[in-house]
Amino acid sequence: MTLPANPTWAQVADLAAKVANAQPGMAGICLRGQTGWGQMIAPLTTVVNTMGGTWFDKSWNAHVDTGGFATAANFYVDLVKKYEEPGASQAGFTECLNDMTQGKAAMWYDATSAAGSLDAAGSPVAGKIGYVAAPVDLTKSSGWLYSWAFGIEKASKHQAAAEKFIEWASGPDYAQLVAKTFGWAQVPPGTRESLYTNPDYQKAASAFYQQVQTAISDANPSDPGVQPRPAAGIQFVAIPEFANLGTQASQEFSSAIAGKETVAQALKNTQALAQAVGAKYKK
Amino acid sequence: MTAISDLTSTPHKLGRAARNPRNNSHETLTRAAAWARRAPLLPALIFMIVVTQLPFVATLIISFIHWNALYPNDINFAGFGNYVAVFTDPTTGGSVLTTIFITVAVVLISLIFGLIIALLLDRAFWGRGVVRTMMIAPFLIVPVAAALVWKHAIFNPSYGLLNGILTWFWGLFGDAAHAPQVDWISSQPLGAVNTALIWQWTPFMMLILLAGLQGRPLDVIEAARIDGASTWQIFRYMTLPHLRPYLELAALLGTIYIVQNFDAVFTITSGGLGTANLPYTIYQTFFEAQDYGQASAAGVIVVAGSLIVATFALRTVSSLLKEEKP
Repeated sequence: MTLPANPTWAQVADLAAKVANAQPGMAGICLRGQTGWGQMIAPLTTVVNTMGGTWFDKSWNAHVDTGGFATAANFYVDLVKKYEEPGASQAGFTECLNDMTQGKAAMWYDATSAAGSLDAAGSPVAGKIGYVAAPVDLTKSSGWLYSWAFGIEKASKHQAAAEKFIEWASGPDYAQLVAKTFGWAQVPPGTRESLYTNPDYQKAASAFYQQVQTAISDANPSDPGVQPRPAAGIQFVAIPEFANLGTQASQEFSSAIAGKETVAQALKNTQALAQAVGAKYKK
Repeated sequence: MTAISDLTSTPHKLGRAARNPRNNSHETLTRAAAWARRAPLLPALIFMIVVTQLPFVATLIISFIHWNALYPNDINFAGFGNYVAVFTDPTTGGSVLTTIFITVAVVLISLIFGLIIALLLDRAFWGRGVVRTMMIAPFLIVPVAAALVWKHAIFNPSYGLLNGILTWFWGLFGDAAHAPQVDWISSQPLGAVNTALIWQWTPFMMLILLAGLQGRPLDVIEAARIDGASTWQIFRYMTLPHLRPYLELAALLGTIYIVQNFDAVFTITSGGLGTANLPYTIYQTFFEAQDYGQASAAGVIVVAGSLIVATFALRTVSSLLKEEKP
């Protein structure tokens, strides 16, 4: 099966229908459905952004149960219920990676960091997977941006040692060490620019390194959707309350995926929660 | 010194000393003996107070403070504000009901299973020691590890044991591709959590009840059997009343622990699909909402509720134990 390099969600949904059960027991697509603001809300919010929705508008009004958000939520839950493996409401990054590696899913929409594991030496699906940009609808790009950072505790008694460790772990020597031990494809992506001009890496990660590089440079945290935002963040809203808001919302949508409540009910409950959070910022 | 001065004193003083020395020194001896018996326990008592009561007092104090860690400059005294917030929070009611449901279901069912297994293990048979050790094993497993095994190795719809058995069974009839692949956790989230907990706590109940069974006076049961009582009658009129304090102790301890259970809910369903119990809600308030004041208030309420339930239960158990004393 083929997808254009910059597919739309409509094309992805069509393809999911066509490839479902292409091999016995193979699901059309794997999408995160697990509770957690960093689990399911992340991909869901990117779909919201590209379908013209947003958590909050510039004046901190919540727009969860209308417009692009409602469309995206219904689309996401439908796609999961129709073409995903059973157990979707507990499927996080790890479960979908397992499914994809074992050939139980034909497509997977998730973080670029998964590419290294899928194409690692010893992976049953290494070399069999093609990579395209995040599907779009109304925007030009739709990939998310997140980073895992190092931090040194202020109370630490070994701050100098921690600093040295951080320099080593994010340095060029570390990449060489990983390449020697696990192979170039497994080197952590998105850490050093020099990685993407390294010919060894380019050969080992030829299937995906260009797409990952483009995804990182195309991401725009201050303007990810079709309307202006009050706070930065693509797949999250950069306010402290979002961790709790996102997790509570994910419990609603997870229930919707499991069929315990309707998407409309989940949207209504989430709108109430989001409005309460937005009200705090309105002043 | 008192004795010597008494000897050299006047007769009536001597008389009084002669009347009282045994009482005086007996009293001091008793007091000294009492201290000698209890003083070695002081370190343990102090340790227990420090480890259990001081943190509780700290939690109590924090529950009266408005303290959200995301806004460190906004800490102030809140009175009962946090308690009001906990009672008016819509998720609290659901958590309380879920906690009650999980506790009652797990305690009752594991008590019944534990009783059955204890009855089976009560009689001697070849390999009883090995079987008993294997039966205890689930209780020894780290709760998080047990919950992970249930979630991934047993319940998982793609590669779990239960759906694998269904596929194998349907394969016996040549129809493996159409075997029903049930999504166990999504369709029965509370059932999944309860099953994992029952599996872990049945050995605990079994151990307590086995101890009770092996303390039965066998000669009385022999006599009953000779008199023509059936097995069911012996069980119902002799074994069960003897086991009553053990059953209640097991139920009380089980309730206290299962009310607090967090691992199964967090691991199997991440608190979603209506399985959020009180410990999970407190965890969410503390670690995600970062509202230390409200989380502390919820914790205090849970402890108060547990104390009330436990007091009534303990009263029942101790009154029964008093009855049992000869």
